[in-house]
Amino acid sequence: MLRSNKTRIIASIGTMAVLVSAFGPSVANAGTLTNTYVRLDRMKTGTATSVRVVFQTSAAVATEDNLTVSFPSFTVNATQSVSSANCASGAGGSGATALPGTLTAGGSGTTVTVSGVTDLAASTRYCFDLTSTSAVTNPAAGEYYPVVTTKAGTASVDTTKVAIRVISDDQITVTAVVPPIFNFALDGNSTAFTADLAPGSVTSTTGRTVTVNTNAKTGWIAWAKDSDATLGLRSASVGHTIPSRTAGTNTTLAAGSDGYLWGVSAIAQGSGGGTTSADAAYDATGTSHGAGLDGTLRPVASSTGTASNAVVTLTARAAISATTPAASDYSDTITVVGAGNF
Amino acid sequence: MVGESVYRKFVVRAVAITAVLLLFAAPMAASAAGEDSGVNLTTSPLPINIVAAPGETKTVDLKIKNSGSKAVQLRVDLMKFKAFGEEGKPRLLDREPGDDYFDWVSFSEKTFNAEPGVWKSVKMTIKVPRSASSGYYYAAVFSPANKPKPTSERTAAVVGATATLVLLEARVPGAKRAIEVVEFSADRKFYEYLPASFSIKLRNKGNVHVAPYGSIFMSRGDTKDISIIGVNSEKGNILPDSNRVYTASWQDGFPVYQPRRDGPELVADRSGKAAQVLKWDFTQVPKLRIGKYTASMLLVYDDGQRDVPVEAVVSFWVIPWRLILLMIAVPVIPAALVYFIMRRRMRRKTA
Repeated sequence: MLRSNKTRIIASIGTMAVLVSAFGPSVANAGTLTNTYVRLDRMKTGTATSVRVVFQTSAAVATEDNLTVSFPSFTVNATQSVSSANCASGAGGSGATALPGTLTAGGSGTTVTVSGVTDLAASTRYCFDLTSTSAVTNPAAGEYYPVVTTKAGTASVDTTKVAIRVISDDQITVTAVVPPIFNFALDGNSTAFTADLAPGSVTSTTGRTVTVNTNAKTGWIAWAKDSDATLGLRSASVGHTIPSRTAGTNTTLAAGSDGYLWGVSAIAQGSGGGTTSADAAYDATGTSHGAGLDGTLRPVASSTGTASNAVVTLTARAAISATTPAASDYSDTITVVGAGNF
Repeated sequence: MVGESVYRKFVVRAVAITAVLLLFAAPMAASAAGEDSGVNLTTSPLPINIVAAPGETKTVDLKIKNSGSKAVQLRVDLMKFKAFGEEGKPRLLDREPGDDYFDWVSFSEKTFNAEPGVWKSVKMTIKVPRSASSGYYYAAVFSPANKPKPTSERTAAVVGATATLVLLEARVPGAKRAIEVVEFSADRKFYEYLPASFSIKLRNKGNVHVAPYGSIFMSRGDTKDISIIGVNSEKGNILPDSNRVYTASWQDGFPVYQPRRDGPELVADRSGKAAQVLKWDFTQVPKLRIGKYTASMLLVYDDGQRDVPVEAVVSFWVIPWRLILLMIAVPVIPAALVYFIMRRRMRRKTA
């Protein structure tokens, strides 16, 4: 009797166990999230940062409605903001699917809970950002293991542990030096009169250009001087000099009277911040104006600031009288110097 | 024997042909050297400010680059510079009797080959004697070592050069640094629109160069610091016993004249100055300037012990009269028209 009761009890318990396991609430075994990473937007120790989480669900079918990310040893901000708007595509996007749902987030202890998640598809890669710039604050340098868990209510669906590092400094300081520079280009070493000198007119040369490029905010100056011992257009063969007009004094040449001068006949401002102008004495925008040059470097043009392809055209002008000796070797040598201002 | 004879003839002919070729090649090489190639030089830094104690030796690097396409032989010469004129622009001068401080200077190389696109450093060493005091102003001038000559009839040769200005202060106790305001003015008393341009003429009454800098504070009535404009932020120096004119511009207004540009290039007007265009940026409407404004300038300079302030004030009016007339005309003209039309009708009725 006793043996048959015992047998009945054991059989009943076994039957109950089978029934419960078949029809009772199943205790779900959590799946594993794969292809998961947690990206701290700053990795420097002691730095508050936003976070990006990317994960892939398992093949198991479940109805998730929230997920948690635990940050052991981190300081987690109780106030959180979450978005999946920018994590999927576009510049900096992860290529995953934006976490679906009307997302909200909050922190408690070392865990951030993201709620409002709608059902996730199996075997699908998702992403979201904890967008607050102080979502978490990094601890001391070292390796840490956040845990990402998708949940259906309080039940875990999929989970995984990832490794992240906090380092002493995550920034590279780049330094460069831009020195002050002054570039001065003279486009040629000779300038010819456009026609033979004649008593009835004032003749000009084709002009030489000076192009300046500089980042000196104090501007620049150009000077010119007559480098020959004899001032003016000198012919060695006939021993005659067409004299240079008074240096530093703007004057007008008259046809029929010997005279020689230089000046700035044109200015192109370029695109710099300074305004280039001719020195008043050497303003040669007319057809006969200018001033003579002597052995002293005379300022001919200047600018108030930086220059990018500022161009100054220097032109010589000469007039002769009816008795000026004929010769084909009238010549002169001019020196033009440029410098950034002090 | 016959073969040897043929060989000799061959050698003689080869030598002769080679000699003829060289005869024609030599002038070609010479003409290449005489090409009208101009000069294209870049220097850095600029200017160079040196402070030395008497008895100290200072060495600075003068960097020069041949920015042209062909190698050129360059030389460096020493000149001096002074400020001249009311605006204190520098003038380069050769050594004059009594300029013993030229002897303090030496260069690591006087002439050198400058390859295209390659920076070259020339060291300038200044041995400051114990007797030195105050300021000394040098110009290191880089120019082609082979000066071009006029190459044909009715031509003038033009030599290009670039200079680096070097300001040396021999710091001694008792060096005098003193700046005074000669003039602080706006270019007009009345403006319709900004910019208002300021001219600041300062005089250095000391014996050492000084770089004053500071700001202009704009106010209108009791409203202070409407705008703050920097003056000489680039720290340009004033040489001893000379003037220098600095400029500043108040452009923070609506509407405002700005330089006309064709892309990045400034456009010049008929007189060669930068042309202006009135810019209407309606996001700047709150900066419509009307009324009497006061510009208060505050500069400081280092007198060797502390910063010394320099102050000046100028006032001017901004009256956008055309805008004001338009604002009056917009409601008044239609109202006046209505008034006159109605009055005319009334008269007709009574008539």
